[in-house]
Amino acid sequence: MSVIFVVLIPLLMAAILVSLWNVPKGRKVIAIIGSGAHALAGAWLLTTVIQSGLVTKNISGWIPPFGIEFRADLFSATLVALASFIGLCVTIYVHSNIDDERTNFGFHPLFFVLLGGISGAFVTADLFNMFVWFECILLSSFVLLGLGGEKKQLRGSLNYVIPNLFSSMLFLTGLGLIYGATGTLNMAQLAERTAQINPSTAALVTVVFVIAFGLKAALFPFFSWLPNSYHTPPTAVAALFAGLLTKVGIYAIIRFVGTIAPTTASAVLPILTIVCVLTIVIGSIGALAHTSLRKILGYLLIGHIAFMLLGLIVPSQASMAAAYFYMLNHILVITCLFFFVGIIQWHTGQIDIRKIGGLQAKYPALAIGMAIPTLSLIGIPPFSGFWPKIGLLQAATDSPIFFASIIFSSFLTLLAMAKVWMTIFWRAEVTEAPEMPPCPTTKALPAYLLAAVILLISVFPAPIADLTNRAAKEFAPYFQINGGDQ
Amino acid sequence: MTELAVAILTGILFTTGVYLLLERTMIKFLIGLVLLGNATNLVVFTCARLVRGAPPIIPKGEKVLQPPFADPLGQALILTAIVISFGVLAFSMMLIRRTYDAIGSDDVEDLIEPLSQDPTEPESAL
Amino acid sequence: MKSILLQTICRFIIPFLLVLSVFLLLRGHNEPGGGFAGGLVAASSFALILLAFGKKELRIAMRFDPKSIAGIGLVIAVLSGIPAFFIGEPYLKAIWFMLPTPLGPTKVGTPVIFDIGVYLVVIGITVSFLEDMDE
Repeated sequence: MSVIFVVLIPLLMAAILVSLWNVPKGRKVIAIIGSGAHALAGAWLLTTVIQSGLVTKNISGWIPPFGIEFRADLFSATLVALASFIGLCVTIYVHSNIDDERTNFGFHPLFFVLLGGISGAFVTADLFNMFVWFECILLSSFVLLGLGGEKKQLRGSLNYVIPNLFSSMLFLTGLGLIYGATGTLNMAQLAERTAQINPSTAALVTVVFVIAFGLKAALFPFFSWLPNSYHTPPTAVAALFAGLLTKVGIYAIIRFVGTIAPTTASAVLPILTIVCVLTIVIGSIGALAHTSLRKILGYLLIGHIAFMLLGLIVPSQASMAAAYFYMLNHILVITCLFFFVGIIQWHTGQIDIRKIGGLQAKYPALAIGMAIPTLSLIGIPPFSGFWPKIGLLQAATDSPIFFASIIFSSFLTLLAMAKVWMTIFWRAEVTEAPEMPPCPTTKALPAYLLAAVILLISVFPAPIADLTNRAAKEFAPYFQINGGDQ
Repeated sequence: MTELAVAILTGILFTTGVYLLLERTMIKFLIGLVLLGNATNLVVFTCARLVRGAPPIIPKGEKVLQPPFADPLGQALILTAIVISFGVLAFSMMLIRRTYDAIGSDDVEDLIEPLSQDPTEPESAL
Repeated sequence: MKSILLQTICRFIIPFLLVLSVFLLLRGHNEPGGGFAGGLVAASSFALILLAFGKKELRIAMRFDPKSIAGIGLVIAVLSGIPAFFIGEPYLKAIWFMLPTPLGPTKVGTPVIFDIGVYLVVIGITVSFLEDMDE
């Protein structure tokens, strides 16, 4: 039942907020309550799955091949719980970040549709249902990105709309092909049948899907939309997108190649390796080239996304566990960094690092708060980014080019963040900052809360490592077919 | 034989759709979107096997569907896809209309920020 | 400039259209009709009000804001799957029971509630489109 609530609550909240369209007063509070309920549902789902294994529910009572099934294994459940927690943090941040103009035009209902779509995409076990949730995410993200209507929003919006629309067309084409080849759309049945159809057809379908999801996940040739559009919306929206949307694309790739079509992996993996390595290299170099904080974070996001596919490229339980831990850590770290960049923008009114300076002297708490996710992103021990990175490096010994790219990316991330840090924190103050009132609690609370969670994971990584190991065990058929040892 | 004709048609639609998607004027981009949506729907339709004149209705006196029948699931998928792409098209139309109001031109090139302008104004929303 | 001819005809037609839309809604499960068709017929009656009488009268005729009507319809549709939880079935499982009415026992169930929700959503969205286009 919890698996239904995790999708039902955000959609119900969206419906309630639409019916309250012309009542501006209680909207933000209702949104926070709704997000809290969603986070509770996510936590309930996670505890249920940890205690009793897989949770499945057939929507409407139709039995699986004919009806839609929601299935939450540990891999999906953790992601849903984390997504709902991030949603709660963003809703609190939104309280002071989104102006009345946007809320009057339906910001909150769309936000909940986005959360509902993300939760649905994680728990569904039917490929076409995943398409429907992806479209929910897509349409609400289009409008959230463009809300505000100024020139920069429109520019960012067009940059975002075109590749994502093309990706959904490709997804649909792949769906048609796989339905024609196997006659089913249920993930479990697809896993049986793709092993039996013509291998080159299966490989073709896998490539179509990987391109479609790769567009969403900002992998190598298709990533330029991300830095060009993530710097335009308000901070809360950008934080939500950066933390969750690209991870949905990565989750879809892992789900497709890992669970649905493991036999086709040998055809796709060489290309996927090259794509991942190039993504890592270009993302890291791009982070050095820009001076706008948001663009730097956008390129760093791209540079780190491809690590999460190591679990597929090196088929072993250890590598999948490390990649999954990295994904969970990265969601927290990137969202936290976007929040802190928003706080910096509140204090100084600037986003270009050449114009910001002297923040260490003025706001020491901000410096400490931002240090935690920064060091975690770079991967310095004992912070939480270090533990999965060691796992990734150990797993990547089978793939030396990946090993080299991980080292390269860590070094360049260090370089980029060091440059940012020295410029904005340790330099003397550059421009006269406008006198702003102190940072509102609803902005500071989510940022520091996430920093505290990251610190907690840094000190106690063992429970998370156990969780990710258990989650990686679920991909055992994939490891068997593709010849891993464990 | 029909499949070959539909496949060639789908290929032509995909080609023109992608070509128009990359066009400079925004209106042509919209038309490209429509064509691409149609091409994708045709792919799903064809993959669910083209059957002539055999609706999926159980004949009187039988218990199950008799074999050559048109697959209703494929057509349900297309229906969903058409509705979704209609919504997307409506949104894109409004976006392009709004962009035209904001910059006064139909040209995508006019949206590009010259690189020198990058540092002067904070180009991100708060 | 509103046409007197249209206004006179509308006074007769609009009640019929609204009754027809409810008829289509309730008949929808086993026969042609349903929430979408009923909603569009009702929305067309509101379109007639808009054309014949103008925007202010439309607002008076639709007592609530069309977007709120759409939202309430969505809430009803989403909540129509909840009764299934009380008998231990998955969400959205259809529950039918025979209701003794003066016209004889009629089959009533949760899909009808879902359809009513869809009906309200279609009315709300179509009328808000029409209002925006009128500007």
